[in-house]
Amino acid sequence: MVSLKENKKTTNQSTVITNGALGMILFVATEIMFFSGLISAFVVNASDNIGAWPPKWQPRLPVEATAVNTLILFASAITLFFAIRKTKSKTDGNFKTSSNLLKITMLLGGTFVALQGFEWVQLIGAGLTSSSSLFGAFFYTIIGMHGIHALAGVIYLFVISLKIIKSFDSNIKMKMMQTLSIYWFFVVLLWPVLYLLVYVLPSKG
Amino acid sequence: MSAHHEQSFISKYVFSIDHKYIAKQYTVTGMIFAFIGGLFAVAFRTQLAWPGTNIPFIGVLDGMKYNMLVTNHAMIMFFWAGMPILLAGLGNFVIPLMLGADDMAFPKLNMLSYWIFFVSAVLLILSFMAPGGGAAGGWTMYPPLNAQQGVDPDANFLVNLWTGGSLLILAVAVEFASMLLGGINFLVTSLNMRAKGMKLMDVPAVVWMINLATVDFMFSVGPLISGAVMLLFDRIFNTGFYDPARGGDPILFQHLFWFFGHPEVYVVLLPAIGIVAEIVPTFSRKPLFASRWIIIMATASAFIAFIVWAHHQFVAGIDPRMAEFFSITTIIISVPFAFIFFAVIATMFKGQIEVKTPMLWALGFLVFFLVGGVTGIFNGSAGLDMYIHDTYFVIAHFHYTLIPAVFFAGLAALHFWFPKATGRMMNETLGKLHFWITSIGFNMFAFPLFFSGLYGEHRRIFNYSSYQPMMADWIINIRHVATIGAMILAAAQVLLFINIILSATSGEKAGKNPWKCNTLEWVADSPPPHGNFATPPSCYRGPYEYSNPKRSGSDFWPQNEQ
Repeated sequence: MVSLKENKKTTNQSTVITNGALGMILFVATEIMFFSGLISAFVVNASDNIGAWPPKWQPRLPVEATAVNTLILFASAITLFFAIRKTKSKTDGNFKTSSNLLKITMLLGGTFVALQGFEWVQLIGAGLTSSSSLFGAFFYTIIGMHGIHALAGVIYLFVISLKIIKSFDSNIKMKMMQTLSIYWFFVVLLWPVLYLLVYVLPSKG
Repeated sequence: MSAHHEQSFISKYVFSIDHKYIAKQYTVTGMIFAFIGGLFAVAFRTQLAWPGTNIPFIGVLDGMKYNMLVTNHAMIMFFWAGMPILLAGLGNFVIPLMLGADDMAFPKLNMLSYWIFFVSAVLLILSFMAPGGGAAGGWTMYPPLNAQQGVDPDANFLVNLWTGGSLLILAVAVEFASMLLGGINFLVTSLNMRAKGMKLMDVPAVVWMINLATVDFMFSVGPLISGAVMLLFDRIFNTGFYDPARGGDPILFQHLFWFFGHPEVYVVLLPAIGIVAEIVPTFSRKPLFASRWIIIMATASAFIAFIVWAHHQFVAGIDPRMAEFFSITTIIISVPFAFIFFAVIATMFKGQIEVKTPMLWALGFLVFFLVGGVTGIFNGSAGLDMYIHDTYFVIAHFHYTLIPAVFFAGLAALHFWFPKATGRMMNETLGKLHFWITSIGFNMFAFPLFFSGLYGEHRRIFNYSSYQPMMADWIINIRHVATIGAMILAAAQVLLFINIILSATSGEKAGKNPWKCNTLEWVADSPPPHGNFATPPSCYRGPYEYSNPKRSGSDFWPQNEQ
């Protein structure tokens, strides 16, 4: 993401949306298609294995504990929202506050990833591994792919939180925040879909 | 515009952020791979025509080696030749120039995209060095074969990663990451960096087509990457996504693969049509017929391309009702292409046609692609496809679509934009000779295969000696003719290399606008400096105002002149 540096010299036409934001929207759109592939594979296999999804002898997923983790991730979206609102007044003092809010967002995101890692260790101990059953394979692939995106987002949040306290054009800072927020909101909003699909629905049947 | 400062050797020739130089890097890499892929084809065609021949550098082909060459021939031609040349190379060169921009929207991302592509090429080469050799499971990577070939389920995951099959999947995934970065650049540049006054309908057809191809690629590649990730995990983490014995579903991979695989065909085809739509008006001195409708039709086809994929799976045991749906959509998608074809032909009607080398290649595309397009209708009909599936009829069909698209249109583009890229004209005599020998070789190789395919010759057999019905004299002759054709096709490319080297070093100097063309790239110097234009051009009209009666004195009207 660091290399998403804009060519600032010529934007010949008045544009509706900045280059960085448009590029990030396109990137997120391809990511959505990627997760759609995984989700449809999951649904196809779930419907092929009705009654055994997950198999009876495999451990259940911690639906309640992960609900708490979901709230932590949602909280990070709220802190990011306030970080962006602070930038609207464009004074350097406010970018300091934004930077701090970004760091809180980063910590919340990091907690989410860490708790998942903790959960994985327990599940592997209980006998759910990537090769123990198809459900396990899907669980680690889908949740792991989301986790990698969350981890990349945490690094991205950290980089931007350091950048915006340096002194340069505040318009560019705002654009950087905008691009960052598209990515992090994608990570946050994707999660409830995966939570419902992988954790909640299989636990019902 | 003097913001583009002096560049050091490394930043100019290696890690360049200049879109024109990146375009050259992509094109040259793609051409080298195209040649390698072509030699693979010559090698396995030799085995088919004269089984047991000792082939230089490779030796006598056994089944495994034969499969390896076939698999990698397809992979290389699609992902390391077709896409880098037609999408990345051409797109990087023409998009900023034709839009009047000084560079891409994200120049550094652009450089990164080439070097990620380079890494993917290295991974591809490494896959041949893995124990057991390169991947040999067919370019479609179908499981369960490709989930198991060369894999030891009890071994460490690194051991299984270090196999031809796994490395090839990884190489393809890295290549896609590179094309994704390039695609983001293309779309953002085209939407946000057009010259002042340039409306979307003033954008030249080739830029439209490259962007439509990019959209097709970007929105179809996600499911394939997810499918490939699962396939790779089956190989290295023993997950069993596609293993029916463990509840997995191998047909699922086919859906994920072809959801990408079919739009991918249009990723290669659309830029080719765009090239022809630029060249034909220029050399006919007439406006592109129904240019607005060509773009609308191409957009329609880019969307229909997403709902035709299962026509590759008619014999995979899919529901006949589903097959019917995909038959219908497949035949519908030929309508917009038929429209575009007629419009391009109508452009030439009563024009002052001048058959220079670029025009010759463009005409070659029109003639030969038609054969591929028409035979596609046979393959698209589910009932008929049951019979011709996996025969040489299909091989002949898609070589009649892909060779005109990648080679004929690609070479048309090379001859057309070579003066802009290097400042020198290409040699006409050598170019025409190259065209005719290539055309003869190509048709000799591909056309006879329609007949052996209809007779039932199956495509995945490396030695027919033990299949008596396939050893009739006439069918053996067909194999010989096809193989000699492939050899001529490969040998003819030597002329291209000679022409490029001679012309780049001592060709006739080209002015700014050797073809008297309207689009903005011809306003810049040849070759354009870093930063492209001395002053950013403005755009006043569409790109195809040839022989306009309102314009006195010349038969063309550049987009930047009032």
